[in-house]
Amino acid sequence: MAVSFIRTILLYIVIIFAVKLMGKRQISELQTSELVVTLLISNIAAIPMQNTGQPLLSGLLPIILLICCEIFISKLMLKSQKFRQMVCGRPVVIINNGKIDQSAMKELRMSTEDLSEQLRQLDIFSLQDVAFAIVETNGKLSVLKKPEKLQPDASMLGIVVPDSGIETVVVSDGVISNFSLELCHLTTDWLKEVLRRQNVKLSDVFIMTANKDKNYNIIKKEETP
Amino acid sequence: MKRLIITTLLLISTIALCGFELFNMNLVSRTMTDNLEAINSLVSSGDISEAKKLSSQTYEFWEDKMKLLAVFIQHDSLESIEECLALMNISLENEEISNFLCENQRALVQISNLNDTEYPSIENIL
Repeated sequence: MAVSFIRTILLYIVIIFAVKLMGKRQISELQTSELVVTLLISNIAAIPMQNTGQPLLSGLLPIILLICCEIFISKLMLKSQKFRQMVCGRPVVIINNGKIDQSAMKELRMSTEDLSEQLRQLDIFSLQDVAFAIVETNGKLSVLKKPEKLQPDASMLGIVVPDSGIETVVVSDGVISNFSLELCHLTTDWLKEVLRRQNVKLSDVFIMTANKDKNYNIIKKEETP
Repeated sequence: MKRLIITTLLLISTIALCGFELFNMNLVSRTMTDNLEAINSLVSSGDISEAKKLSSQTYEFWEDKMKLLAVFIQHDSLESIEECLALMNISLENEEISNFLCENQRALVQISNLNDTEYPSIENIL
């Protein structure tokens, strides 16, 4: 049991490192090769966790090799579009200028129910609203609505909206985030001055957000009973 | 770039580890095979005391190398060879020649199989 315990922790650390090494792409939308690697890594890692008769290296080595392959392949895909197409395929247009391409749908083995479901998930309840629909290489559907069905934005209405920039979390659970302060072009001195004026201690702050216009919002920690 | 360097280093390390395993596996299996055959010859020629000495040394050698091999190879295979060697030793101590010959042969076959399965041949890969 103790061996399993230690191996689980070690493998967990290795997998976290592996995911970090593969980059943020792994954490968000997955391409075909990335999905394969993710599934393989999870299955391989489980074997030496449960079977202590199996050497730990027999789990670690394949994981490391898969990561290496994934990184090399992703670098190659950046350099060569042909290779990228070979591995990931190409996006497929299934609705072109409002007209459904039935042969493209057949090629993707996509039924009308699948199409309707994906459109509904994008808050589109009528095929008549769609100008273009493209199935991306990761299987997701991207949609461009017809101009008359688009939601008007500020520029269309001729409204000038003030730009307050990004609002970030500058204090989280009593800890200052210098990265967030830099993003909003703010300083630690300004933050400390705000807290002093508000008569709030840094350690009492649960969350504090701010933007470049020095608008801030402070939420204090709840008092423990 | 940093990621690519780390990946390359990891790849080189894994290749080096595989090479290290093969080298040690080869060395150990050759030594063990030679020793087991020598013990067999000594017993056949009637020199039981020399055979007992060599058998004991071989067993200690295996116990020592097993710690390293256990990092790379399934423990079951290594433990079964250790069992054969232990039984072989006991049979030799009690001068049970037929049992000794059985265990000696079993150990030889298992070591040969172990070496064959670890070698990256087409049959093993497929």
